[in-house]
Amino acid sequence: MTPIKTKTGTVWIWVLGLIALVGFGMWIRQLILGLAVTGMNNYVSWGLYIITFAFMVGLSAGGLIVSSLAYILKLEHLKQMAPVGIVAAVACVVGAGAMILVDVGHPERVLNILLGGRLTSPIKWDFFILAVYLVVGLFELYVMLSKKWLNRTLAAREHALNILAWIGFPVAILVHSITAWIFGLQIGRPFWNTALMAPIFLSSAVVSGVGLLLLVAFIGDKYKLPIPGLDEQNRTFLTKLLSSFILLDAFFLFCDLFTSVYAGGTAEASTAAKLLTGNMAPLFWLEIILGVVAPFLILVMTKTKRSMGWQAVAGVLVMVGVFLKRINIILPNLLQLNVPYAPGVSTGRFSTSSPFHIADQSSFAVVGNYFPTLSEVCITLGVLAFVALLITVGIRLTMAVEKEESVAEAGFHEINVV
Amino acid sequence: MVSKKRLGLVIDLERCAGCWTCAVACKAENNVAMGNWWNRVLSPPGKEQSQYGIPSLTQDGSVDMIFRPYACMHCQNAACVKVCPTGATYKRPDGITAQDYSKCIGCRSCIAACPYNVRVFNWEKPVQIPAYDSDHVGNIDVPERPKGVVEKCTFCMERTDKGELPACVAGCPSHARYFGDLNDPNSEVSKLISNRTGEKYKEEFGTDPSVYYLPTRQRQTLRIGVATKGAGLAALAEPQTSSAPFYTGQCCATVERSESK
Repeated sequence: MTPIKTKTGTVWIWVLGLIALVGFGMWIRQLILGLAVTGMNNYVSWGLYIITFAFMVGLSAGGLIVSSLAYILKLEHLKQMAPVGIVAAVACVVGAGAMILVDVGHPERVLNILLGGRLTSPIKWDFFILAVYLVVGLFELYVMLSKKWLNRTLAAREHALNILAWIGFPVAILVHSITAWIFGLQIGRPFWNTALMAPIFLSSAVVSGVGLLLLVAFIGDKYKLPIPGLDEQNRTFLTKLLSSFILLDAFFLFCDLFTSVYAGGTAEASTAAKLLTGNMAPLFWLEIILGVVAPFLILVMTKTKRSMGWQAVAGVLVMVGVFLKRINIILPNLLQLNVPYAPGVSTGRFSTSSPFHIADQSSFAVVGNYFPTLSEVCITLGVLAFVALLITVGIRLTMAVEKEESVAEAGFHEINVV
Repeated sequence: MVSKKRLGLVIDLERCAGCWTCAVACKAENNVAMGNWWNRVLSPPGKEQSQYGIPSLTQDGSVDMIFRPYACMHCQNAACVKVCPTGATYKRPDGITAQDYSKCIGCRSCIAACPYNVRVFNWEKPVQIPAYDSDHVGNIDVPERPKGVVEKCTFCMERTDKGELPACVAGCPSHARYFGDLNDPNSEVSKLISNRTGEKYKEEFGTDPSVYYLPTRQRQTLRIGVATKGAGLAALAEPQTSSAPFYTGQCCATVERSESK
């Protein structure tokens, strides 16, 4: 089980490792100086970290949902793709956990959530379900890749993976719903407080997750890596899945915004107006163009839909679109207070400057502002690089196993089903 | 049946002069760091329709603006308590929404959950005004907070547990603030609420706040007018309320009025 080594791959790993290391260093600095190094304040109390957390949770979905579906719906050919999907899912969930760790003020105390936390808290549910998700994913990988399981019969492995898929699928659905409920159950945030939050998170999770798989397929093809399962047939399935979920996602978004703005005069309406025509409009319409219109056109036009390159472009676009969507869900309502009267909230920022605040000036803000600082961006990029590193290493493992498998199975004239 | 104790605050908007003494007293008492305020005085337009505290004009052309002292509402159905994953934010049996700084992981869910935006976070190690460094000016019983935890008004529980008044109530120079047990019908706060139609702020969020505001005379006139149009009887039983000269003196005016009823 030796990983396949290429020169480009080694450089890639070193670059990712370096970025991750810089991010880690910046995190240590943040631990010493406090979250004052971020652009967040009491007004906009969640920022890039939580946005990326929600994005990473979504990104992991595609993998686990698609892989589990292959087993649940008995799509034999799609099963070949399962290891790659689960590698992506596990890596992204680790990344999501890392984003929470860098966001909280006291990461050393996170076990307080387990030890005597409060059962009504969506964060507590999320903590549990992410742990279960990680364990299920890791165990699936263990069944697929470990020597111990590879030495057993194919039927035994299939049986175990089947059971795991039936556990993994509802867990994956729950992970996204609960992450959505962190926002959707907040009565104090009218724009978030919609029953559509969980469906929206689920649909965009599938969109971004499949986008990631398409990108992986393209990179694998470009560098002639024998990544298991990402062949023409499965890619066609993925693009069909992607284009339908882009439509579903857009429909949910439309329903949500339409319901918000129709009555007018409500808090939801003014937040939605901020998004549609206000100061967040550029980000919102960019999301619609990059995340909905462009990838959908690429995936339905006969000229582009079969090209691996274009599929990868669509994959990257939907990931960017879903990231923008996370911003556009989370930030507008943080920027909109229920009680916005002068002198506003005390921002908590006084002795340190932020992009929108000069030290030793007033600590009150009537209008909310947020822009991530360099430190925040570095830490986030570090986590993203770490996730990419995990995916690279994981895929190398699946390729190594695949290679041994095909060598072994060639002798028995068996169909390669992993 | 003896009901449970529920500590609450009543703020008389008619008497509030907007001097910020309550806010400063709170900040000093609790050693709140620079940049953070547990208590503040909002200046909404009287009708609270135009945003950002720009005074709105009434129908006769006069400027309409009020001061609304504003801190944690100590909601009975507190949104912040529900979302706290560690139980660091909790309801005490006496109704205070308290914060355990040693349990808080600093996830800021409670800041996002609070409909009133009264929670503040220690983004850095709390820095007090330099003069505070050598001499602990505030209450020595108030625990110090590390960086990375959320904090907010505690109804000065270190004082109120001893039977004293919260710093903001004790310090208010215009006697606009009253503190007591809302579940005791004979307490000063309960009487004030029933006699002067005390109202909770932003009740539509359903969190059941324990802070009541007594409306200004102008607004109360408006309310009685509305009530007369509707159910009528309750308002008609008290026809003087709208026209009687209001609160020229101290809080004894309340007693007089409730006796005359």
